[in-house]
Amino acid sequence: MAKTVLIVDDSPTMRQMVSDTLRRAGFTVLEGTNGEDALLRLDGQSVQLVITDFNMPVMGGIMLVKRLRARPDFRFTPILILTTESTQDRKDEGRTAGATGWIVKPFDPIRLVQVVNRLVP
Amino acid sequence: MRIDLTQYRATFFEEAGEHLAALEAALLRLDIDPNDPTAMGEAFRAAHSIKGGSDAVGFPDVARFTHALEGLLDRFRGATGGPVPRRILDLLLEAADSLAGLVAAARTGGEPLEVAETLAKLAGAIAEPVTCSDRTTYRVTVVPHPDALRNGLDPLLLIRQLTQLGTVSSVRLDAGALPALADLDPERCYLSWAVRLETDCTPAAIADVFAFAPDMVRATIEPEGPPAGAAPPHEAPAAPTAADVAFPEENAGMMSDFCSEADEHLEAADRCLLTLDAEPTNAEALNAVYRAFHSIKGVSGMLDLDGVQTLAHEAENLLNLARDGSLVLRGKALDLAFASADALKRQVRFVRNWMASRGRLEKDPALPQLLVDLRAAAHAPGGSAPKEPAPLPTKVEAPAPRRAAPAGTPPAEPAARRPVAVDKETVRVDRDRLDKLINTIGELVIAQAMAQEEFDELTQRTGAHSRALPELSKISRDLQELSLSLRMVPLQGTFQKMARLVRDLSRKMDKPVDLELHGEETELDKTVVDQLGDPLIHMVRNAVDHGLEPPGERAAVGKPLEGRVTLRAYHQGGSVYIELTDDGKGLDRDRILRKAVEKGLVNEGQRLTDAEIYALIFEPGFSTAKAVTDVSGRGVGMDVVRRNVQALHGSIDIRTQLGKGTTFAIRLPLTLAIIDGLMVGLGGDVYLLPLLSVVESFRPRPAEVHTVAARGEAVTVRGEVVPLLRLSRLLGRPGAVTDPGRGLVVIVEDHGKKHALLVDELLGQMQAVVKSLDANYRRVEGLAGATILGDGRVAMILDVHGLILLHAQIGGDRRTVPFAAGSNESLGEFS
Repeated sequence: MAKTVLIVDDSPTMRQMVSDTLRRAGFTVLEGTNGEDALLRLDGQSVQLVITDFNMPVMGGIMLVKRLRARPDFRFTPILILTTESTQDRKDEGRTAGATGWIVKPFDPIRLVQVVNRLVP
Repeated sequence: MRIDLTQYRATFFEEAGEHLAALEAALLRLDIDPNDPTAMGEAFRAAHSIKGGSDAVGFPDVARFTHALEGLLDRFRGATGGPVPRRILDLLLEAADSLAGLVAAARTGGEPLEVAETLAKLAGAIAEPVTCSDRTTYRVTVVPHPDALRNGLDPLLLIRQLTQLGTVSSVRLDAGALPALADLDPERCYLSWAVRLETDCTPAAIADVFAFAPDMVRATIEPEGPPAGAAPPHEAPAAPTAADVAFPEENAGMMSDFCSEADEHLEAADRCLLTLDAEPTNAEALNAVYRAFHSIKGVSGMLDLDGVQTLAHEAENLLNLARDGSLVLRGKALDLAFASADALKRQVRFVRNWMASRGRLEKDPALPQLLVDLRAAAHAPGGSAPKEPAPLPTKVEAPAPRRAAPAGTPPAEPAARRPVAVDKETVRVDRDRLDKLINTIGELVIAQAMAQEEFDELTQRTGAHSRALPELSKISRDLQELSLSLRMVPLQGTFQKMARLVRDLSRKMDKPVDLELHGEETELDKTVVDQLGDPLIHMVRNAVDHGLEPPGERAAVGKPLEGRVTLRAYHQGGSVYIELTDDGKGLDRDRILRKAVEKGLVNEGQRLTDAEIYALIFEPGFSTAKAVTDVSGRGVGMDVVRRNVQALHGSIDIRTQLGKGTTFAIRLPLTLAIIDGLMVGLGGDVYLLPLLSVVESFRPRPAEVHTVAARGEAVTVRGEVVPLLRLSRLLGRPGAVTDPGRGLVVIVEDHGKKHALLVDELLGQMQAVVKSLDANYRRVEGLAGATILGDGRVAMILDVHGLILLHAQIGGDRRTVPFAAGSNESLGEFS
């Protein structure tokens, strides 16, 4: 069964680039335009990995991670933050909220697939 | 609508030239130290910029090629990448050459270079996995963060990934942190693992498995030491793994002091190691190197810089063995000592980066191997090395007890040929503060001059006198002189690097070279010294690689087998001269000329003086090396040298004799902060011409001024025809004298070529404090900066080279390479 990845980013271009990359690698992709939108779209679907942007309107990445970790079905799901921010402060914030790892934009498609494969083999 | 791209191409070529130079400089640095991650980053950025630019201005060939080059660089980029293999470095250098050729072809519109083969090699290299040549067994320790599971990371997934990289021979579980069952939190990760992995992947490739979650899992990768039987008798200290230590803010100040101190220690160590290369038992040099490592060890230990400390400790041990005579520092042992100094330099750089980023401390992938080698070497002699470093030298004649050198001062010079550096007390001052002080004193001098002028007027009207004012004037001048001397540093450090370079080159190319250094104590503005390194590296490389003949060839012409390279610095008439002389084969006038004609830089039958012909080697894309060697001769080199020297307001001359050798003489101003200038008037404004480039001035007779159709104007000076540049036209200033017979022409020299500048009048000489336009306004073509005159007016400082370029652009000559072809051609027709 194809694994499902949730992609959350307010930039349609970025969303599309990530989705295309992962679809081509055989994943099913679910998209959200911000944290709140993503939570609404989940609607009971099972997701094996979340990739979210950091800065987004309405609900940002950190809040989304916190909200997901608070749900029983997402307690142990890997969540990657895909962002241009890579300062240690930001990372600490992400780790405290419950993020698994970071991918820094601009991302290299091959690496992205590699990392995703590592987390959802 | 089509956008005309050609208008941007000139800018692109200028930028591409700089990026090519940066690319080559970075690759050459990698050539010396294949572990240098900064150099790799610089090379990548340079290639990246060329790619972007070439694509934008419509050179798809250049863009495609650079894309491939960038791809290969990218593979070896990043702090954890291992040393760049020789083979890859050669390919990168070859590609940089091809790229320079492609750009040159795009510039001249010439036949595009055949690069398909290089392109294919690049693609091949990108496709192959990043591997070491040898299969190595690594010990990979995986320590997950206690919250790893709760943050969605299953450590087992990653350990399983390791099995895909090679053969896992054992996995040891460390459950030491596991609490009693009652206290156990099932969602918390208490376990860690040690995996023995045999693989041909580089440590970087292994680290890559964990790279996406550095906060969640800490992995250390160490090569396993020699097989158990031959293991060193003592437990090897763990390789430093400071990867995730937060920056200790409380130590920030000490850390920065440590770095500058370590720099000095390492510089001293390098210098003394070179002495030891010649005299392996020189006691004073041994002690000095030992002290350098020892001091670094002490301070780094206090600052918890484990990587630095461990390395310094091992290096100190090695030196200690040499000091007590149980090991002679030559061959492999000496190489190890050099390698340790280099690795410590890298560590210091990492600490600097750490201070700047407050992120994570980089790790040196080459360090574990070096530590293993150092330990092996320390235990090799007689198999019975002392367990503890011997506290004092015993067998080697120890110098009389010397007072401890104050921290931060290089130890006294051991070598006989070099002047003894005197320990002086020094105070470390923040660079910005120093610059501010110098700047403020500059303002003071200007204000003083303004006050003087106001008072002079007063004196004329009322006959008033002042005793204080002349005194003030003297004091402010003294103050200015003093302030500039603050920034003066000796060339010693730079020369030392060259000595090291010559040693490396000499071994690499199997050419015995004797390097002589003179005038290392010559002082220059630190800004100038800092920027002098790159051009000197190029020149020294060229001298050893192309200048000196191989030993066989030397023997054939009756020269001593050992080539001689001399680096000399001295003061003369307010300038500093740096001369690099080799006793090699000299420049071949005819071959240079042929090559220049071939490359379209000059026209066949054009008459050139010898100086003009030799100067052709500074043209972009020019290289006479028959075959590109892996050391130099890639054609970007000398072009960069000249540009760098010019950026320092200096000039470079060549003296050469076929078969006897070549001397490159760089002439530099003492400082960039002050300029000796000739004040010229133009349409009521005052401009300043750098005195360094002024040859003479005179009022031409009408018969001496000519106009040549479509070529512009020229003036005859004692039979020599010199192009005439109208300053008013170049700067767009109306109201100036238009008849050369009523104004004055100032003959200026640039690149050994004369030009005549038409101005209204000469107003005198002055020493001007240079205010940068780049920093305060923006770069303006033809202007080198501004200054404030005694009467408070602002005067622009002219940039002779820029003016000539400007003339070539707006004058009748629309060629893109104005020096090589344009102005010469007009000369050719006249003379």
